[in-house]
Amino acid sequence: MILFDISYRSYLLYIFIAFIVCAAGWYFIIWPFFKKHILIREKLRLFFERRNREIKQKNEELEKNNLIKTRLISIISHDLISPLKFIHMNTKNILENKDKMSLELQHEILSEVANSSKELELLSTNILNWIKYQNENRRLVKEEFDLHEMVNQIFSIFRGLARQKGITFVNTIHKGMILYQYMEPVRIVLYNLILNALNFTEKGSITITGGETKKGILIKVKDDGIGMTHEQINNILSEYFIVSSINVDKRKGNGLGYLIIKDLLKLVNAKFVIKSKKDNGTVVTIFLPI
Amino acid sequence: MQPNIIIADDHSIVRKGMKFILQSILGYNTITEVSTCNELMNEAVKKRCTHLLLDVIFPDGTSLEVIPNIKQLIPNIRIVIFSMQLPEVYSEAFRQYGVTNYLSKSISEEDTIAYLKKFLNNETALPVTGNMPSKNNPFATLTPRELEILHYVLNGQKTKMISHTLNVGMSTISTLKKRIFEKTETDNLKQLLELALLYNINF
Repeated sequence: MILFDISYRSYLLYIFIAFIVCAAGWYFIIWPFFKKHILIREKLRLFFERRNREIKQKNEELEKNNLIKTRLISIISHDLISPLKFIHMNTKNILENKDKMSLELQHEILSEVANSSKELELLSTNILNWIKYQNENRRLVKEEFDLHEMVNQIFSIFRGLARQKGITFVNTIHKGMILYQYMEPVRIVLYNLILNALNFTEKGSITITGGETKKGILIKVKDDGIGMTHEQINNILSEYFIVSSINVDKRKGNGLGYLIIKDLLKLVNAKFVIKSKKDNGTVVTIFLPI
Repeated sequence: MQPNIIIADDHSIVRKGMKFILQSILGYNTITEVSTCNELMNEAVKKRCTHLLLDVIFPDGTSLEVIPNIKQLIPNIRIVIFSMQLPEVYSEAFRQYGVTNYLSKSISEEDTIAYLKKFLNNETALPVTGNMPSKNNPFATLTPRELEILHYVLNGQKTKMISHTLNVGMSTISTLKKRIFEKTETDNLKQLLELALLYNINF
Protein backbone atom coordinates (compact mmCIF):
# COMPACT_ATOMS: atom_id res chain seq x y z
CA MET A 1 0.00 0.00 0.00
CA ILE A 2 2.72 2.42 1.08
CA LEU A 3 4.78 1.70 -1.96
CA PHE A 4 1.87 2.32 -4.13
CA ASP A 5 1.14 5.53 -2.31
CA ILE A 6 4.67 6.88 -2.91
CA SER A 7 4.74 6.04 -6.56
CA TYR A 8 1.29 7.53 -6.95
CA ARG A 9 2.43 10.83 -5.38
CA SER A 10 5.59 11.04 -7.46
CA TYR A 11 3.50 10.26 -10.45
CA LEU A 12 1.33 13.23 -9.66
CA LEU A 13 4.47 15.31 -9.13
CA TYR A 14 5.84 14.35 -12.53
CA ILE A 15 2.60 15.31 -14.13
CA PHE A 16 2.65 18.59 -12.28
CA ILE A 17 6.25 19.34 -13.34
CA ALA A 18 5.49 18.38 -16.90
CA PHE A 19 2.50 20.66 -16.82
CA ILE A 20 4.60 23.58 -15.49
CA VAL A 21 7.20 23.01 -18.18
CA CYS A 22 4.57 22.97 -20.86
CA ALA A 23 2.90 26.11 -19.56
CA ALA A 24 6.23 27.93 -19.32
CA GLY A 25 7.18 26.76 -22.78
CA TRP A 26 3.91 27.96 -24.17
CA TYR A 27 4.11 31.25 -22.35
CA PHE A 28 7.74 32.03 -23.23
CA ILE A 29 8.09 30.54 -26.69
CA ILE A 30 4.80 30.00 -28.45
CA TRP A 31 2.68 32.80 -27.01
CA PRO A 32 5.11 35.62 -27.93
CA PHE A 33 5.10 34.26 -31.42
CA PHE A 34 1.33 34.17 -31.47
CA LYS A 35 1.07 37.56 -29.88
CA LYS A 36 3.30 39.04 -32.52
CA HIS A 37 1.31 37.32 -35.17
CA ILE A 38 -2.01 38.59 -33.81
CA LEU A 39 -0.67 42.12 -33.44
CA ILE A 40 0.57 42.14 -37.01
CA ARG A 41 -2.75 40.87 -38.23
CA GLU A 42 -4.57 43.53 -36.26
CA LYS A 43 -2.27 46.22 -37.63
CA LEU A 44 -2.73 44.99 -41.16
CA ARG A 45 -6.47 44.91 -40.72
CA LEU A 46 -6.53 48.50 -39.50
CA PHE A 47 -4.21 49.54 -42.30
CA PHE A 48 -6.39 47.99 -44.98
CA GLU A 49 -9.52 49.40 -43.44
CA ARG A 50 -8.03 52.88 -43.56
CA ARG A 51 -6.85 52.40 -47.10
CA ASN A 52 -10.25 51.13 -48.10
CA ARG A 53 -11.90 54.15 -46.58
CA GLU A 54 -9.50 56.44 -48.41
CA ILE A 55 -10.07 54.72 -51.72
CA LYS A 56 -13.81 54.82 -51.21
CA GLN A 57 -13.68 58.51 -50.41
CA LYS A 58 -11.48 59.19 -53.42
CA ASN A 59 -13.87 57.20 -55.55
CA GLU A 60 -16.85 59.15 -54.32
CA GLU A 61 -15.05 62.38 -55.06
CA LEU A 62 -14.16 61.24 -58.56
CA GLU A 63 -17.70 60.14 -59.16
CA LYS A 64 -19.00 63.48 -57.98
CA ASN A 65 -16.58 65.27 -60.27
CA ASN A 66 -17.70 63.10 -63.10
CA LEU A 67 -21.32 63.99 -62.49
CA ILE A 68 -20.43 67.66 -62.43
CA LYS A 69 -18.66 67.24 -65.74
CA THR A 70 -21.68 65.56 -67.29
CA ARG A 71 -23.83 68.39 -65.99
CA LEU A 72 -21.44 70.93 -67.48
CA ILE A 73 -21.49 69.26 -70.87
CA SER A 74 -25.26 69.41 -70.84
CA ILE A 75 -25.18 73.09 -69.87
CA ILE A 76 -22.70 73.84 -72.63
CA SER A 77 -24.84 72.20 -75.28
CA HIS A 78 -28.14 73.68 -74.15
CA ASP A 79 -27.19 77.07 -72.78
CA LEU A 80 -24.14 77.99 -74.83
CA ILE A 81 -24.34 76.47 -78.29
CA SER A 82 -27.94 77.14 -79.24
CA PRO A 83 -27.97 80.78 -78.01
CA LEU A 84 -24.73 81.38 -79.92
CA LYS A 85 -26.22 79.91 -83.07
CA PHE A 86 -29.18 82.26 -82.81
CA ILE A 87 -27.11 85.31 -81.92
CA HIS A 88 -25.24 84.68 -85.14
CA MET A 89 -28.43 84.22 -87.11
CA ASN A 90 -30.06 87.34 -85.68
CA THR A 91 -27.14 89.68 -86.24
CA LYS A 92 -26.60 88.34 -89.75
CA ASN A 93 -30.24 89.04 -90.51
CA ILE A 94 -30.03 92.57 -89.21
CA LEU A 95 -27.03 93.17 -91.45
CA GLU A 96 -28.61 91.62 -94.55
CA ASN A 97 -32.31 92.24 -94.19
CA LYS A 98 -32.47 95.54 -92.41
CA ASP A 99 -34.88 97.01 -94.95
CA LYS A 100 -37.42 94.21 -94.46
CA MET A 101 -37.52 94.65 -90.70
CA SER A 102 -39.54 97.11 -88.71
CA LEU A 103 -37.46 99.41 -86.55
CA GLU A 104 -39.23 98.02 -83.55
CA LEU A 105 -38.23 94.44 -84.33
CA GLN A 106 -34.66 95.52 -85.04
CA HIS A 107 -34.47 97.15 -81.68
CA GLU A 108 -36.04 94.14 -79.97
CA ILE A 109 -33.56 91.76 -81.57
CA LEU A 110 -30.54 93.95 -80.85
CA SER A 111 -31.38 94.32 -77.19
CA GLU A 112 -31.85 90.55 -76.98
CA VAL A 113 -28.46 90.00 -78.59
CA ALA A 114 -26.97 92.32 -75.98
CA ASN A 115 -28.67 90.46 -73.11
CA SER A 116 -27.88 87.01 -74.39
CA SER A 117 -24.24 87.71 -75.04
CA LYS A 118 -23.91 89.11 -71.52
CA GLU A 119 -25.52 85.96 -70.13
CA LEU A 120 -23.15 83.83 -72.16
CA GLU A 121 -20.20 85.80 -70.85
CA LEU A 122 -21.31 85.27 -67.24
CA LEU A 123 -21.96 81.59 -67.80
CA SER A 124 -18.62 80.97 -69.50
CA THR A 125 -16.82 82.86 -66.72
CA ASN A 126 -18.45 80.58 -64.21
CA ILE A 127 -17.65 77.39 -66.07
CA LEU A 128 -14.06 78.56 -66.22
CA ASN A 129 -14.17 79.36 -62.49
CA TRP A 130 -15.09 75.82 -61.70
CA ILE A 131 -12.60 74.18 -64.05
CA LYS A 132 -9.73 76.29 -62.67
CA TYR A 133 -10.13 74.80 -59.22
CA GLN A 134 -10.28 71.18 -60.32
CA ASN A 135 -6.53 70.81 -60.45
CA GLU A 136 -5.43 68.48 -57.63
CA ASN A 137 -2.12 70.21 -57.18
CA ARG A 138 -3.45 73.72 -56.97
CA ARG A 139 -1.57 75.71 -54.40
CA LEU A 140 -3.72 78.17 -52.55
CA VAL A 141 -2.07 81.09 -50.81
CA LYS A 142 -3.66 83.70 -48.64
CA GLU A 143 -3.07 87.31 -49.55
CA GLU A 144 -4.13 90.76 -48.47
CA PHE A 145 -6.93 92.54 -50.27
CA ASP A 146 -9.50 95.29 -49.81
CA LEU A 147 -12.97 93.73 -49.41
CA HIS A 148 -14.81 97.01 -50.02
CA GLU A 149 -13.01 97.41 -53.35
CA MET A 150 -13.63 93.80 -54.31
CA VAL A 151 -17.39 94.11 -53.75
CA ASN A 152 -17.48 97.32 -55.79
CA GLN A 153 -15.66 95.58 -58.60
CA ILE A 154 -18.15 92.71 -58.68
CA PHE A 155 -21.04 95.19 -58.53
CA SER A 156 -19.66 96.93 -61.60
CA ILE A 157 -19.84 93.68 -63.63
CA PHE A 158 -23.56 93.44 -62.91
CA ARG A 159 -24.36 97.17 -63.02
CA GLY A 160 -26.10 96.94 -66.40
CA LEU A 161 -28.33 94.02 -65.42
CA ALA A 162 -29.26 95.68 -62.13
CA ARG A 163 -30.15 98.96 -63.82
CA GLN A 164 -32.44 97.13 -66.25
CA LYS A 165 -34.36 95.54 -63.38
CA GLY A 166 -34.26 98.66 -61.22
CA ILE A 167 -32.33 96.99 -58.42
CA THR A 168 -29.92 99.01 -56.28
CA PHE A 169 -26.63 97.72 -54.97
CA VAL A 170 -25.55 98.64 -51.45
CA ASN A 171 -22.03 98.06 -50.19
CA THR A 172 -21.91 98.67 -46.44
CA ILE A 173 -18.46 97.22 -45.93
CA HIS A 174 -16.38 100.07 -44.60
CA LYS A 175 -13.73 101.47 -46.83
CA GLY A 176 -10.31 100.00 -46.34
CA MET A 177 -11.39 96.75 -44.71
CA ILE A 178 -8.36 94.60 -45.45
CA LEU A 179 -8.66 90.82 -45.35
CA TYR A 180 -5.89 88.26 -45.31
CA GLN A 181 -7.67 85.45 -47.11
CA TYR A 182 -7.78 83.34 -50.25
CA MET A 183 -8.65 86.17 -52.57
CA GLU A 184 -9.74 84.41 -55.76
CA PRO A 185 -12.11 81.90 -54.09
CA VAL A 186 -13.71 84.68 -52.03
CA ARG A 187 -14.22 86.74 -55.18
CA ILE A 188 -15.79 83.86 -57.10
CA VAL A 189 -18.11 82.97 -54.21
CA LEU A 190 -19.28 86.58 -53.86
CA TYR A 191 -19.69 86.85 -57.63
CA ASN A 192 -22.00 83.84 -57.61
CA LEU A 193 -23.97 84.93 -54.55
CA ILE A 194 -24.59 88.36 -56.06
CA LEU A 195 -25.53 86.84 -59.43
CA ASN A 196 -28.01 84.53 -57.69
CA ALA A 197 -29.48 87.41 -55.73
CA LEU A 198 -29.86 89.41 -58.92
CA ASN A 199 -31.51 86.54 -60.80
CA PHE A 200 -34.14 85.99 -58.17
CA THR A 201 -34.93 89.57 -57.21
CA GLU A 202 -37.46 91.67 -59.11
CA LYS A 203 -37.23 94.92 -57.21
CA GLY A 204 -35.48 96.33 -54.16
CA SER A 205 -31.85 96.12 -53.25
CA ILE A 206 -28.95 93.77 -52.78
CA THR A 207 -26.83 94.57 -49.74
CA ILE A 208 -23.41 93.29 -48.77
CA THR A 209 -22.24 93.62 -45.17
CA GLY A 210 -19.06 92.46 -43.57
CA GLY A 211 -17.91 91.95 -40.01
CA GLU A 212 -15.08 90.48 -38.00
CA THR A 213 -15.18 88.12 -35.04
CA LYS A 214 -12.30 86.63 -33.08
CA LYS A 215 -12.45 83.46 -35.11
CA GLY A 216 -12.97 84.82 -38.59
CA ILE A 217 -14.69 87.04 -41.11
CA LEU A 218 -18.43 87.13 -41.76
CA ILE A 219 -19.80 88.39 -45.07
CA LYS A 220 -23.53 88.72 -45.68
CA VAL A 221 -25.31 88.96 -49.03
CA LYS A 222 -28.90 90.07 -48.55
CA ASP A 223 -31.58 90.50 -51.21
CA ASP A 224 -35.28 91.41 -51.40
CA GLY A 225 -36.01 88.59 -53.81
CA ILE A 226 -38.55 85.79 -53.98
CA GLY A 227 -36.81 83.80 -51.26
CA MET A 228 -36.62 80.06 -50.84
CA THR A 229 -38.62 77.43 -49.00
CA HIS A 230 -37.07 75.14 -46.43
CA GLU A 231 -37.17 72.37 -48.99
CA GLN A 232 -35.33 74.42 -51.59
CA ILE A 233 -32.59 75.29 -49.09
CA ASN A 234 -32.17 71.64 -48.13
CA ASN A 235 -32.00 70.79 -51.77
CA ILE A 236 -29.11 73.20 -52.27
CA LEU A 237 -27.26 71.86 -49.24
CA SER A 238 -27.73 68.22 -50.21
CA GLU A 239 -24.91 66.24 -51.73
CA TYR A 240 -27.15 65.24 -54.61
CA PHE A 241 -27.57 68.84 -55.63
CA ILE A 242 -24.74 68.44 -58.09
CA VAL A 243 -26.85 66.91 -60.78
CA SER A 244 -30.03 68.72 -60.03
CA SER A 245 -31.13 71.73 -61.99
CA ILE A 246 -34.37 72.12 -60.17
CA ASN A 247 -35.41 75.63 -60.64
CA VAL A 248 -36.50 78.00 -58.01
CA ASP A 249 -40.12 78.81 -58.81
CA LYS A 250 -39.82 77.53 -62.36
CA ARG A 251 -37.19 80.10 -63.13
CA LYS A 252 -34.19 79.29 -65.13
CA GLY A 253 -31.18 78.21 -63.17
CA ASN A 254 -28.68 75.54 -63.94
CA GLY A 255 -27.48 74.94 -60.42
CA LEU A 256 -23.95 75.80 -61.37
CA GLY A 257 -23.68 78.76 -58.98
CA TYR A 258 -24.17 76.91 -55.72
CA LEU A 259 -22.13 74.02 -57.02
CA ILE A 260 -19.15 76.34 -57.34
CA ILE A 261 -19.89 78.11 -54.07
CA LYS A 262 -20.00 74.86 -52.13
CA ASP A 263 -16.92 73.48 -53.81
CA LEU A 264 -14.79 76.56 -53.18
CA LEU A 265 -15.93 77.16 -49.61
CA LYS A 266 -15.05 73.58 -48.75
CA LEU A 267 -11.65 74.09 -50.30
CA VAL A 268 -10.85 77.03 -48.01
CA ASN A 269 -12.55 75.52 -44.92
CA ALA A 270 -15.23 78.17 -44.90
CA LYS A 271 -18.90 77.69 -44.01
CA PHE A 272 -22.12 79.23 -45.18
CA VAL A 273 -25.66 79.60 -43.90
CA ILE A 274 -28.79 80.40 -45.89
CA LYS A 275 -31.66 82.18 -44.19
CA SER A 276 -34.72 82.72 -46.28
CA LYS A 277 -38.46 82.74 -46.37
CA LYS A 278 -40.73 82.43 -49.36
CA ASP A 279 -41.37 85.92 -50.80
CA ASN A 280 -39.30 87.50 -48.05
CA GLY A 281 -35.80 87.75 -49.42
CA THR A 282 -32.70 85.72 -48.73
CA VAL A 283 -29.63 86.27 -46.58
CA VAL A 284 -26.58 84.16 -47.23
CA THR A 285 -23.80 84.44 -44.65
CA ILE A 286 -20.35 83.08 -45.30
CA PHE A 287 -17.83 82.55 -42.55
CA LEU A 288 -14.11 82.58 -43.38
CA PRO A 289 -11.93 81.28 -40.54
CA ILE A 290 -8.74 83.20 -39.81
CA MET B 1 -57.59 83.01 -91.85
CA GLN B 2 -54.40 84.63 -90.68
CA PRO B 3 -52.51 82.17 -88.46
CA ASN B 4 -52.20 83.10 -84.82
CA ILE B 5 -48.75 81.86 -83.91
CA ILE B 6 -47.21 81.11 -80.51
CA ILE B 7 -43.48 80.50 -80.02
CA ALA B 8 -42.57 78.50 -76.92
CA ASP B 9 -38.86 78.40 -76.16
CA ASP B 10 -36.91 79.13 -73.00
CA HIS B 11 -34.19 81.12 -74.79
CA SER B 12 -35.40 84.58 -75.73
CA ILE B 13 -32.72 84.93 -78.40
CA VAL B 14 -34.17 81.87 -80.14
CA ARG B 15 -37.66 83.35 -79.97
CA LYS B 16 -36.43 86.58 -81.53
CA GLY B 17 -34.77 84.67 -84.35
CA MET B 18 -37.99 82.83 -85.11
CA LYS B 19 -40.02 85.98 -84.75
CA PHE B 20 -37.83 87.61 -87.38
CA ILE B 21 -38.36 84.75 -89.83
CA LEU B 22 -42.11 84.69 -89.26
CA GLN B 23 -42.60 88.45 -89.33
CA SER B 24 -40.09 89.85 -91.80
CA ILE B 25 -39.62 86.97 -94.20
CA LEU B 26 -42.95 85.13 -94.11
CA GLY B 27 -45.08 88.16 -93.24
CA TYR B 28 -47.08 86.90 -90.25
CA ASN B 29 -47.79 89.47 -87.60
CA THR B 30 -49.78 87.88 -84.80
CA ILE B 31 -47.02 86.27 -82.78
CA THR B 32 -46.93 85.50 -79.06
CA GLU B 33 -43.80 84.49 -77.19
CA VAL B 34 -43.73 82.29 -74.08
CA SER B 35 -40.83 80.79 -72.13
CA THR B 36 -42.38 78.19 -69.82
CA CYS B 37 -44.97 75.40 -70.02
CA ASN B 38 -47.15 77.29 -67.60
CA GLU B 39 -47.19 80.48 -69.65
CA LEU B 40 -47.81 78.42 -72.76
CA MET B 41 -50.96 76.89 -71.31
CA ASN B 42 -52.30 80.27 -70.28
CA GLU B 43 -51.45 82.21 -73.43
CA ALA B 44 -52.38 79.53 -75.97
CA VAL B 45 -55.93 79.43 -74.68
CA LYS B 46 -56.27 83.16 -74.05
CA LYS B 47 -54.99 84.16 -77.50
CA ARG B 48 -56.73 81.27 -79.30
CA CYS B 49 -53.62 80.21 -81.11
CA THR B 50 -53.76 78.21 -84.32
CA HIS B 51 -50.09 77.34 -84.77
CA LEU B 52 -47.53 76.40 -82.13
CA LEU B 53 -43.75 76.26 -82.41
CA LEU B 54 -42.72 74.14 -79.47
CA ASP B 55 -39.34 73.41 -77.89
CA VAL B 56 -38.94 70.16 -75.91
CA ILE B 57 -37.21 71.06 -72.65
CA PHE B 58 -38.51 73.90 -70.48
CA PRO B 59 -37.44 75.06 -67.05
CA ASP B 60 -40.72 73.77 -65.63
CA GLY B 61 -41.00 70.47 -67.46
CA THR B 62 -41.09 68.96 -70.94
CA SER B 63 -43.52 69.57 -73.76
CA LEU B 64 -44.49 65.88 -73.65
CA GLU B 65 -46.41 66.74 -70.51
CA VAL B 66 -48.36 69.65 -71.99
CA ILE B 67 -49.27 68.43 -75.46
CA PRO B 68 -52.19 66.21 -74.37
CA ASN B 69 -53.64 69.13 -72.40
CA ILE B 70 -53.21 71.63 -75.20
CA LYS B 71 -54.79 69.27 -77.71
CA GLN B 72 -57.73 68.85 -75.42
CA LEU B 73 -58.23 72.58 -74.98
CA ILE B 74 -57.57 73.56 -78.60
CA PRO B 75 -58.28 70.48 -80.73
CA ASN B 76 -57.45 72.14 -84.06
CA ILE B 77 -54.08 73.59 -83.12
CA ARG B 78 -51.18 72.71 -85.43
CA ILE B 79 -47.99 71.95 -83.57
CA VAL B 80 -44.40 71.72 -84.80
CA ILE B 81 -41.63 70.58 -82.49
CA PHE B 82 -38.67 72.91 -82.84
CA SER B 83 -35.72 71.60 -80.88
CA MET B 84 -32.05 70.71 -80.59
CA GLN B 85 -33.13 67.24 -79.44
CA LEU B 86 -32.58 64.43 -81.91
CA PRO B 87 -35.66 63.54 -83.98
CA GLU B 88 -34.77 59.84 -83.88
CA VAL B 89 -35.34 59.87 -80.13
CA TYR B 90 -38.28 62.21 -79.79
CA SER B 91 -40.21 62.27 -83.08
CA GLU B 92 -41.78 58.84 -82.53
CA ALA B 93 -42.91 59.81 -79.03
CA PHE B 94 -44.50 63.00 -80.32
CA ARG B 95 -46.14 61.08 -83.14
CA GLN B 96 -47.84 58.93 -80.51
CA TYR B 97 -49.24 62.14 -79.07
CA GLY B 98 -50.47 63.14 -82.52
CA VAL B 99 -47.72 65.61 -83.40
CA THR B 100 -45.97 64.62 -86.61
CA ASN B 101 -44.14 67.83 -87.47
CA TYR B 102 -40.57 67.93 -86.26
CA LEU B 103 -38.19 70.73 -87.18
CA SER B 104 -34.65 70.34 -85.91
CA LYS B 105 -32.83 73.45 -84.72
CA SER B 106 -29.65 72.14 -86.25
CA ILE B 107 -30.69 72.54 -89.89
CA SER B 108 -29.88 75.57 -92.03
CA GLU B 109 -31.86 78.78 -91.96
CA GLU B 110 -33.10 78.35 -95.56
CA ASP B 111 -34.47 74.91 -94.79
CA THR B 112 -36.07 76.23 -91.63
CA ILE B 113 -37.81 78.98 -93.57
CA ALA B 114 -39.00 76.57 -96.26
CA TYR B 115 -40.32 74.19 -93.63
CA LEU B 116 -42.15 76.88 -91.69
CA LYS B 117 -43.73 78.20 -94.86
CA LYS B 118 -45.27 74.81 -95.57
CA PHE B 119 -46.25 74.36 -91.94
CA LEU B 120 -48.08 77.69 -91.80
CA ASN B 121 -49.78 76.99 -95.12
CA ASN B 122 -51.26 73.94 -93.43
CA GLU B 123 -49.55 71.47 -95.74
CA THR B 124 -49.63 67.97 -94.32
CA ALA B 125 -47.12 65.13 -94.30
CA LEU B 126 -44.06 67.30 -93.78
CA PRO B 127 -40.83 65.32 -93.64
CA VAL B 128 -39.00 65.00 -90.34
CA THR B 129 -35.91 67.18 -90.61
CA GLY B 130 -32.53 66.74 -89.02
CA ASN B 131 -29.16 65.21 -89.52
CA MET B 132 -28.61 61.59 -90.48
CA PRO B 133 -30.25 59.64 -87.68
CA SER B 134 -28.19 57.14 -85.78
CA LYS B 135 -29.81 53.74 -86.32
CA ASN B 136 -29.40 52.29 -82.89
CA ASN B 137 -29.80 55.10 -80.45
CA PRO B 138 -30.76 53.23 -77.27
CA PHE B 139 -33.09 56.07 -76.27
CA ALA B 140 -35.16 55.73 -79.46
CA THR B 141 -37.07 52.79 -78.01
CA LEU B 142 -38.44 54.75 -75.06
CA THR B 143 -42.16 55.50 -74.93
CA PRO B 144 -43.44 59.07 -74.45
CA ARG B 145 -44.06 58.40 -70.77
CA GLU B 146 -40.56 57.00 -70.30
CA LEU B 147 -39.00 59.99 -72.07
CA GLU B 148 -40.93 62.27 -69.74
CA ILE B 149 -39.53 60.49 -66.70
CA LEU B 150 -36.07 60.31 -68.29
CA HIS B 151 -35.84 64.11 -68.24
CA TYR B 152 -36.38 64.22 -64.48
CA VAL B 153 -34.16 61.23 -63.78
CA LEU B 154 -31.26 62.80 -65.69
CA ASN B 155 -31.77 65.96 -63.68
CA GLY B 156 -31.09 63.98 -60.54
CA GLN B 157 -34.60 63.97 -59.15
CA LYS B 158 -35.59 61.19 -56.79
CA THR B 159 -38.67 59.04 -57.38
CA LYS B 160 -40.59 60.84 -54.65
CA MET B 161 -39.99 64.25 -56.21
CA ILE B 162 -40.91 63.11 -59.72
CA SER B 163 -44.09 61.59 -58.38
CA HIS B 164 -44.84 64.89 -56.68
CA THR B 165 -44.11 67.03 -59.77
CA LEU B 166 -46.06 64.91 -62.22
CA ASN B 167 -48.76 63.95 -59.77
CA VAL B 168 -48.30 60.26 -60.51
CA GLY B 169 -47.97 57.41 -58.00
CA MET B 170 -44.50 56.44 -56.76
CA SER B 171 -44.86 52.83 -57.90
CA THR B 172 -45.68 53.91 -61.46
CA ILE B 173 -42.57 56.10 -61.53
CA SER B 174 -40.43 53.26 -60.16
CA THR B 175 -41.68 50.89 -62.85
CA LEU B 176 -41.05 53.44 -65.60
CA LYS B 177 -37.57 54.11 -64.21
CA LYS B 178 -36.81 50.42 -64.13
CA ARG B 179 -37.87 50.11 -67.75
CA ILE B 180 -35.64 53.03 -68.78
CA PHE B 181 -32.64 51.31 -67.19
CA GLU B 182 -33.59 48.01 -68.81
CA LYS B 183 -34.06 49.41 -72.29
CA THR B 184 -30.83 51.42 -72.21
CA GLU B 185 -29.00 48.51 -70.55
CA THR B 186 -27.61 50.67 -67.77
CA ASP B 187 -27.27 49.82 -64.09
CA ASN B 188 -27.17 53.21 -62.43
CA LEU B 189 -27.65 56.93 -62.90
CA LYS B 190 -24.00 57.49 -63.70
CA GLN B 191 -24.06 55.11 -66.64
CA LEU B 192 -27.37 56.52 -67.81
CA LEU B 193 -25.97 60.07 -67.74
CA GLU B 194 -22.92 59.06 -69.72
CA LEU B 195 -25.02 57.26 -72.28
CA ALA B 196 -27.32 60.28 -72.57
CA LEU B 197 -24.35 62.53 -73.29
CA LEU B 198 -22.96 60.13 -75.83
CA TYR B 199 -26.26 60.05 -77.71
CA ASN B 200 -26.85 63.80 -77.41
CA ILE B 201 -29.83 63.78 -75.12
CA ASN B 202 -30.16 67.20 -73.56
CA PHE B 203 -31.74 67.50 -70.18
